[in-house]
Amino acid sequence: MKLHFYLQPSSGVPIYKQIIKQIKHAAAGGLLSAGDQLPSVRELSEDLTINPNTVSKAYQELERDGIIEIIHGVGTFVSKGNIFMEEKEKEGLMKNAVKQLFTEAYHLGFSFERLKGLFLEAYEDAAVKGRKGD
Amino acid sequence: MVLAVETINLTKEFNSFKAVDGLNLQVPEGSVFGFLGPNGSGKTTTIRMLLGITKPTSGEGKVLGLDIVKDSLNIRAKIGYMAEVPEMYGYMTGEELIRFCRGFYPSWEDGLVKKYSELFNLPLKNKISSLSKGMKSQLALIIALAPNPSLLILDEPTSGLDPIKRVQFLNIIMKEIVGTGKTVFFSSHLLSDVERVCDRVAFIKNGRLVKTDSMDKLKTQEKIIRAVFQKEPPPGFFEKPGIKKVQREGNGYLISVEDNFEEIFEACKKMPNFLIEVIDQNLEDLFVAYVGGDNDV
Amino acid sequence: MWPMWEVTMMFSITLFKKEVRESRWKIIIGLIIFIITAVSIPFTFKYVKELLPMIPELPGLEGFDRYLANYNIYTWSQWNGKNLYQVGTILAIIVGMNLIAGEKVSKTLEFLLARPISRSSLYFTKFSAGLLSLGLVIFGSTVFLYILSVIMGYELLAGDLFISTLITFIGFIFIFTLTFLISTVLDEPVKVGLLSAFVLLLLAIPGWFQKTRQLSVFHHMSAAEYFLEGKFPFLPLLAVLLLSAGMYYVGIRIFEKKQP
Repeated sequence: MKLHFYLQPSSGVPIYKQIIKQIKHAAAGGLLSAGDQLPSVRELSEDLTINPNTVSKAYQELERDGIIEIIHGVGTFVSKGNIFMEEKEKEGLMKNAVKQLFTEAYHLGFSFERLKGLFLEAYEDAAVKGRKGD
Repeated sequence: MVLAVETINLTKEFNSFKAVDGLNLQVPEGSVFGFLGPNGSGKTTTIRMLLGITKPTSGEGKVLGLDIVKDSLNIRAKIGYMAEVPEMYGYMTGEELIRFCRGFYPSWEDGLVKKYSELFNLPLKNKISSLSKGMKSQLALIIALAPNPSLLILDEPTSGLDPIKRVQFLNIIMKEIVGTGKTVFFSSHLLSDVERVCDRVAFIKNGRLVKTDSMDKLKTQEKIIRAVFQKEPPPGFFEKPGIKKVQREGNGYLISVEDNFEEIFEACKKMPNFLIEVIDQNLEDLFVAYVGGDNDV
Repeated sequence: MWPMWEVTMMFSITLFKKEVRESRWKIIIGLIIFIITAVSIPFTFKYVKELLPMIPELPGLEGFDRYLANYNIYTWSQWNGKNLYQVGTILAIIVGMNLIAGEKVSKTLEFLLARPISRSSLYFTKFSAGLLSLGLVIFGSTVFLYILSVIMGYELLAGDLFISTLITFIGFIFIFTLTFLISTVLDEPVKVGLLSAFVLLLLAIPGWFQKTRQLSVFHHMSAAEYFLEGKFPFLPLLAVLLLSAGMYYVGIRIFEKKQP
């Protein structure tokens, strides 16, 4: 399958980190399965009009983390064996999101009670959709 | 680290005006280096000195290990250069101009000319004066690439191109030059292009180097922390290496960080606070922060 | 000691070709004008010779009959003494004025300077291209004049004609080098041409007076001394060549520092 990358070169996040994040999420979320081939450094850099050094850097880091395997002369593949995001990493992501929520609430002067109401409402919504989706 | 370009206190004065003022640049081999600054900040003068088109008033420089004053002829033979507005002999056809340039270079490769002109689908039989601005840039790029240079110096290469041509242009440079381990040094004020392709940047203002670093480091280290502390932080709290500027904002602070970000952020989090948030800085924010404003409008 | 590269690259063939190409219309038009002038000489000789005794003495034409003594001297008076040096001066200015200033005005100087060629070879190549174009027109048309005269049955001394033309040409070297120098300083070809013409006008003034005419380059260019008195003007020509070399040297110095 061909993974579609969304790059925001003008965000404050380095491009290689954006690539790492997208491949990690795609692998953890099942969009990519073990053994899937990723585009080569050349292809990806041309598709996204970015520096090949940046793609190499992202791939090297992903290989170090065991998410992909680079077989020289053959290609780059998603690692065999399941890729789970580590619990700690998952928690980190969630923590950030929650924190952002509170920052926003602080700026808008929301009380804790009011925020809690919105929080539960959103949770209900998501739960209903989730059941329908199954 | 092998350097493709290095300058030490490079200075150029016109009468008594310092167009370039004690510039120290280091461009690693194999990198894509963005040379950024407002108009009139000395970018073109610097590039002309690297090529030996203009002689420095003082200081020194090396390009591919060759001295920019003593060895400029060899430098020009080994690099590809494209000027900001590539004005070429309008009465010649593309083919004639290519033949004219070919005679200057010992390392000229006809195969490369053929490859790129087919790629660009450039009408080489037409007179240059009848070509569009984008086609002229493409022709200039073909001529710059034909001697198979290990360094490509481009002065505002994409400013005359439409978005599609720009992407095509950047892709060729990425594929043909960077992909083969060669170096690209380019000046630009189109920050979105720079942000996509550069791995190092330098900001220049009034002929002086204001900041140079890798793009990834800039993006991970250059941030602003917005903090509202529960009580005033102790004196000296903001005196940490890496803090560039501290501004008051209501009863909070805006702390501009240029280095050592993680440590500073942790220190802020440890202080009892109502709010801590991180504002990412993109290249445009950094450009404005480093070289924007005051006296160069 | 110059590095090898410098020596081998003193002359750039590709640049030379470009320069000759750029001045090709000047060469062609110059040749046409000179050939027309050359044609007029053998054709007018007889008529002028027959006509002159019929008209009463005209002021200003005293002594003109001595130029009609034979075809040889008539040719010199019409060619080296008149057309060649007058039209040739204009041609030398026109060929020289564009060489550097033309690159500046078309904004191609930066493109040229970015090529791997030293400024001195660039300057030398442009100089040689201009001078060779000029030489081609001057000597080409003189050869034509000679052949035509022989075909029409006139006796013309080739040695005298070509040595006179060489003397005239040395004067053109001076005019061309002066224009080339001004082309290095000023950025617009038209201004270069006008200034060069003005400077030459000033230099022509001494030639109008008997006492000072030794100081005028135009006086020597006509080769009068050689043709009428049989003396080859070594010293004046040496002075003209030295002055030209000096202007070339100043020009190259200015060009070394020129900004695109």
